[in-house]
Amino acid sequence: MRLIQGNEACAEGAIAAGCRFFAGYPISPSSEIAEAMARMLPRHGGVFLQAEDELASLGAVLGAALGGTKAMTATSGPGFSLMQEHIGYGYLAEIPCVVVDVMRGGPSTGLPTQPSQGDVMQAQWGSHGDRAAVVLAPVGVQEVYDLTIQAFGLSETLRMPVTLLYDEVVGHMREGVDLAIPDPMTLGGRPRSSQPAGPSFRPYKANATGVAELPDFGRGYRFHVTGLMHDERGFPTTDTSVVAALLERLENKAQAAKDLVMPEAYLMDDATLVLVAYGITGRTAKAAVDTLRSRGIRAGLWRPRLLWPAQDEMLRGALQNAEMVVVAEMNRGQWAREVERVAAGSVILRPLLKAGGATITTEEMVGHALDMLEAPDIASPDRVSGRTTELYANISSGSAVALESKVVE
Amino acid sequence: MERDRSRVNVRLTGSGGQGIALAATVLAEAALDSGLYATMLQEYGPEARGGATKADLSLARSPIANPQFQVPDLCLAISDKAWTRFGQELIGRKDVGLVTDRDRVVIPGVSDPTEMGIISLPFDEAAKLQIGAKVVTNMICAASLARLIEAVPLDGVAKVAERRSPAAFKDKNRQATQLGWQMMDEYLSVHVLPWRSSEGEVGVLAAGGDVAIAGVGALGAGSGAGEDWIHKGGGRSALRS
Repeated sequence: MRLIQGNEACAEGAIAAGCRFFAGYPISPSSEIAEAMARMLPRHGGVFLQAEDELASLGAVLGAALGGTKAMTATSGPGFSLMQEHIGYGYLAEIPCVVVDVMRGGPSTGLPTQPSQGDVMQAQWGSHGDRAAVVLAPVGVQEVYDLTIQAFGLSETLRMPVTLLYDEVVGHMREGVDLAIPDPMTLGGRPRSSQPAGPSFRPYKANATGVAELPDFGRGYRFHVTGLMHDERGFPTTDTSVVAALLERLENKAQAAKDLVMPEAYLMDDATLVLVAYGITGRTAKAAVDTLRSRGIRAGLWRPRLLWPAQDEMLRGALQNAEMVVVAEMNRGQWAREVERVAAGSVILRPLLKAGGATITTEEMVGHALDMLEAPDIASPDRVSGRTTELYANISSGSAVALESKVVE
Repeated sequence: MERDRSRVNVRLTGSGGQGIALAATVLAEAALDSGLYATMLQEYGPEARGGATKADLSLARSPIANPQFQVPDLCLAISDKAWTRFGQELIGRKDVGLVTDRDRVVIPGVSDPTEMGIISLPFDEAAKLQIGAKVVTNMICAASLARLIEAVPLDGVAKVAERRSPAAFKDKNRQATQLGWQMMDEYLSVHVLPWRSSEGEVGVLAAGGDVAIAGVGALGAGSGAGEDWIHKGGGRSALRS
């Protein structure tokens, strides 16, 4: 057991996973990741590069990854915004890498030192165009370590950028961590082409799992990598059927992550009141569940470790016996919409939203749940944000009722 | 909200540069070494670079769900700024133990903090006069708190303090932990502290062996890690662990 910070655990996880290249531009509250990588990489024969900005950071990471190295960058909201273009490039060109976003308050430079969970939608939709994303959300220091390793495994296996998303509190919290040597199964492997080099070589010919098997640069293959829509040869095309098939293949391959990253289900077996939360809010929710249970309320926690792609089927299954659902997050309502989409019409759902730099307290969560139990049919305002998000649902008949979500400021 | 009595929440506060975060880290690490669970959250804003700053430490026998807390069981303040920002609001609460630096914290209108149940000790002066290095004040505080909490042994704190010191300060930091432990030990042998648990039990913290402040002392009670070092054992209150 070692007592380390979340951000240090991220660097430890990256090194354990075999990451040997890091390029970044330090930014609060993620800077300790860059600091730790700068310290550790040279000792492991790796390269640390402080770039001039976040565009260059991810550009360098993509280049290192094409050269065959496991590579990572870390940033926070403002830098994550700058990285979106290259995230899209890495996705389309099928370049594995890990991008860490330690969330602070936004938009813009926002609240550099305060926590937030405001980049959840950005992590999925920040880059233009149709794009699937794989986004992992650790809850504490141990999980930062474990999920950093898994992020590398997924990015390698699926050959795509994978995002590790957590808040400032998780990043700076110190806890005892078991820095276990990673399981080779979790580490996966980067599919590389076994086709012979030559005129018939097709770098973007997908394997059985829908992943292109690019060789590493410098291995005797000549091929083209582009951010334009491309055919199997890697050359630009505007052939609509080729483009449509490419988009579909890329989206489909990312779905594999759904079966590889399991959510935490805490006291869910008989839970009728379910809290859904992730990151530091997931810790608070667990404490809230304990408090509610001690008062005889059948509460449970469903905590996704994978935010994207959303695990619709697992969530639907988990909420099967639920009557009421609280989605708690430190933003103005982001992942709550995913839960609304999945649980529409079958439960009473009232999000607990808090933006502004403070975390949600256990007391606020318990209070919110008790308010809801007391008056499930009344749209009472969320006691933290003062905003009412009401879902009309007919539970007794179980019929799908037209869903209306209204926000009252 | 009722207190989780198998857990101790300690807030260490001071001015940026006094080594508050390191003191909390040393305690957390020593707790881990004793087989306990520990979480530590340190203030990260610009305050940590000069203004009043805090580190929130939790120690428990089982995994800690939420590392955050609003009201601590125990609060240390070793600067005026820190007292004003974090300590003052806790004064008069019967379920919170307060520890201050005798010379660095002046509580307006209070001439003798001891009468109010506040443990007021000359940490800074002891560092200067007895160890000859002001920078070890934080380690004196860490060991003093360890004695008060009864969850981590002196040996453990000394070992971690030494491990985390630069070579030139290893000896001084080890001495500092011994001094800090001793200061609190002596204080507790002559003072009765009127802290109460949230259930209203009148408590005497550690002094007579009975521990009734919510949480504090709970970790040292019962079987398991650290049992043999507990000073003047016996008579633990029946806190849940």
